Amino acid sequence: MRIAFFGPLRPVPSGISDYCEELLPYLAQEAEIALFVDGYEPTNLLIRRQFPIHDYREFPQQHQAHPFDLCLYHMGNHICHAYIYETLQRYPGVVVLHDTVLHHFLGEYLPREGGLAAFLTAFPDEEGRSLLRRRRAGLWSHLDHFLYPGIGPVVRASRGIIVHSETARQAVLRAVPTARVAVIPHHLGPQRSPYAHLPQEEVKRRLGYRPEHWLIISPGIVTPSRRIETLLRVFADLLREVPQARCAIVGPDHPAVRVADRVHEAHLDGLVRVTGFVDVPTFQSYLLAADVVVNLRYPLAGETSGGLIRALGAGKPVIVSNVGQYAEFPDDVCLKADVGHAEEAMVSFFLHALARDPALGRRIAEQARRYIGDFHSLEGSARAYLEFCREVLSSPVPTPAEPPLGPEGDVRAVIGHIREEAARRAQEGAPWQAAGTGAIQPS
Amino acid sequence: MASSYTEDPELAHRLRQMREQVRSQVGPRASRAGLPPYPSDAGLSEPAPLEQRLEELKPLAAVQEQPFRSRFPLLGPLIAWFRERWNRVSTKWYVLPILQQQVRFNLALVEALQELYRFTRQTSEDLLRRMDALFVPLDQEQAALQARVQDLRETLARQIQEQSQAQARVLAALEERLQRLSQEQALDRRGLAFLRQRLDGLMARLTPQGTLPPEERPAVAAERETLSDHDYFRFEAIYRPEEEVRAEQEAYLPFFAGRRNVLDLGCGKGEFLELLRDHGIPAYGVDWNVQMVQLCQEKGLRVVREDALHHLAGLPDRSLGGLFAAHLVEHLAPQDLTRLVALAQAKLEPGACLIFETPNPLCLWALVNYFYLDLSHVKPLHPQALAFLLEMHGFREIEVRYLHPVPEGVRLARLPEAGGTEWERIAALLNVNLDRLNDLLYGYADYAIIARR
Repeated sequence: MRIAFFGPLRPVPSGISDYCEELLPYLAQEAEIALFVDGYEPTNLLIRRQFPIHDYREFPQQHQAHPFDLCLYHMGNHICHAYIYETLQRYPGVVVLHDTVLHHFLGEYLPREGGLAAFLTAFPDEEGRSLLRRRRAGLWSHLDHFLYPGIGPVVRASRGIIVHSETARQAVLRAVPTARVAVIPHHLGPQRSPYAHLPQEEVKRRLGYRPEHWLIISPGIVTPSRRIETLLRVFADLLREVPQARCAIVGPDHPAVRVADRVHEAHLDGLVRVTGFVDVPTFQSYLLAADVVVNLRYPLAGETSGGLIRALGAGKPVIVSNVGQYAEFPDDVCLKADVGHAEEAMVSFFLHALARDPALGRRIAEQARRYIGDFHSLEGSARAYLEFCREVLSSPVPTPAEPPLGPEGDVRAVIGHIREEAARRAQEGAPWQAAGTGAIQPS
Repeated sequence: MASSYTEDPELAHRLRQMREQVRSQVGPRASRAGLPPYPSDAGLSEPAPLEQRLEELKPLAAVQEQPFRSRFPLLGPLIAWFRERWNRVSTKWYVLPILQQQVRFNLALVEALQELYRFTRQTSEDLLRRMDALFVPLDQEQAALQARVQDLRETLARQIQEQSQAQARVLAALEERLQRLSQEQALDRRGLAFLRQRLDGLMARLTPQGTLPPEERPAVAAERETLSDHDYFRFEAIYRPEEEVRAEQEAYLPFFAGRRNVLDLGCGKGEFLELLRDHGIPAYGVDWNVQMVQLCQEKGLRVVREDALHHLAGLPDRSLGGLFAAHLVEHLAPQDLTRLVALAQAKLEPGACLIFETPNPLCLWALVNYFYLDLSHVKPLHPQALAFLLEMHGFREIEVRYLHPVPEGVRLARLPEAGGTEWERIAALLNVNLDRLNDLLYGYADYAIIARR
């Protein structure tokens, strides 16, 4: 099987880069793989040695000269996936949907590439008009990204979708009920920490903590969904009972959060460490040092956190949000805190319970380690990938649906609708008054 | 290789309970209205200071002409009149239209602002309502789904637990049955070997013609007697398990402490001999049942197969440090019992103890269920009769201990005595009678008589 692999690789700053680099050697055991990137040179030497790497713009020539059996796309909710989105529209293939909300990506990509028309293509029917109306009125919040996920164009263009959880599968089927979807759990990457052989106390020392410190880690990019303010409030409260508690927020900051400012405002300087971006070995070292990991997320973009899988696999008690894919974990594998008004009280309760009863933490951690070992192995993941790819290949190639594939095609089709709609609204009155009454019919 | 994951239901239940505990402490959420606002909501649901300010602005929009005034007391009105006249001639014709234009503009601007405010507010409220309309059903659906999932989980866990319990019960029953079958098989094997041995003995005694010489007839009759005794081994195995017997007989040990050469007559499977050995008291046993003797010997106990009275008769006088006979005397005919007591008196050293344990005929329930269950029992012995017999043969410090009370559930239930006075009196009377009946019917199953030489 010859596979054209489209996915971010380091130095692209995304967890999906690590995911792809970990998976590729396993896929290569049974498939011939060529990598297509967007004009950069991957930094991982092993990847560079093992795989032919091309710019994605060369793909049409490569494919014509020596056809690939299948394109495998890794799609996430970040602008670095733009070339993958574009190629997918022309060459349908299997898409690994790392997020089931692509609105943030589309919000940045579509205005650049196709403007309003492409925007309406991504958000068809009533959903798109409602969205447009709100945007025009300037009434917008980050929550709206999650209400309008915009995965339709990606799912419709694919021959098959791979997701990491049942919740994500349901989200895909809500967007396109006829989609072919496989659930392949997010794998546990190999341990790369230089301190993996050391006892936890020693790892704490190496990271600048004292052995008696009770260390809470919050891993991953600090987006507004990461509930950092909740964590900081709970941590400040915990300090009264557990003065030796310390917290480390391990992951790159987000401009909408400015985590260092939040820590300073909470008067927690010196007690909460903000590391910013760290490489995978350092990230794993922090997990080794942790006594408990807090991985809250709400609202969700359908993503499965690689950091969470690493934390569970490292045998640490983890507190997650009891929602979506995180609620799918068995009840004995992690502590699931409800989202909403009970969130803070529940996280606080769990942290106090774990601090008071280390045996409880050890018991949960052991269950987590075993669960991840059984159901999230790299070998199992690669096997499931190849099996699904073969299944897709053995089924007939679907006839492309109207409008034709490719953003230009979409733009042309939708511009016609916009003109008709604009003319009709002009007759009826003010644009915003007519916005809710008209319906854009596909040509 | 790391061990694989299996669900820990106890842990899962504990973590779910922790969650429930916090939920019950925090209480349910009625609607989005009770929540802290999302960033986009901030200010939208607040009272409208802007609307108020715009309303206040409206009267200010219409700019009014101001009359001329002067602060001089006498000439002031004159000065104001001159200014007014001058203004009317020199500037009013030019300024007034500009002022009116400004007023029109101001009013239009305020109205436009008010309209814009109303539109913004209406749109915002509409959006909030829509967001609520989106979130509340979602929350409700989520809560309902969570409840349903929880319900299903609990049902599943309950069913699994019930299945496991049923399975455990079946397994335990099978295990017990298997154990019993194994025991019975072992007994049968032992019995079979014994029968074969006896049969060989009989065959050897028979002449080749198949007739039995007259001189052999007593021997064959004795063999037949032994064969019937084989059943007693099996009877004991079923109705008197060794562990129970050992636990019950432990109470007798203090009477033989420091003594030597204690004899256990009719030692059976040797439970009391084992106890004596474990406590360092030298002892031996005598039993007539071949299998019992074999079993004791396999346990390493010193046991001889001999008739009890015959054995006692053969011992030197005052040679025994103690004599113990559990459930033996009821197997003896009265004359043999008298002889046993007499021999015991002769063979025990001074101060040595004698203990007989036997079913208690004062308990009719035990008589019916125990005594007559055993076909080899000859005669129930009243404790007073046995005490009299021992006393007559010179034993002293005679004590009767009643053992093994009939289980409480078997006894007649007493009536409740609370209630009206008349009922109290009747109930108390009936209870006295019931107690008497209970004592007669359901007293103690056995007794032990203890005497010192």
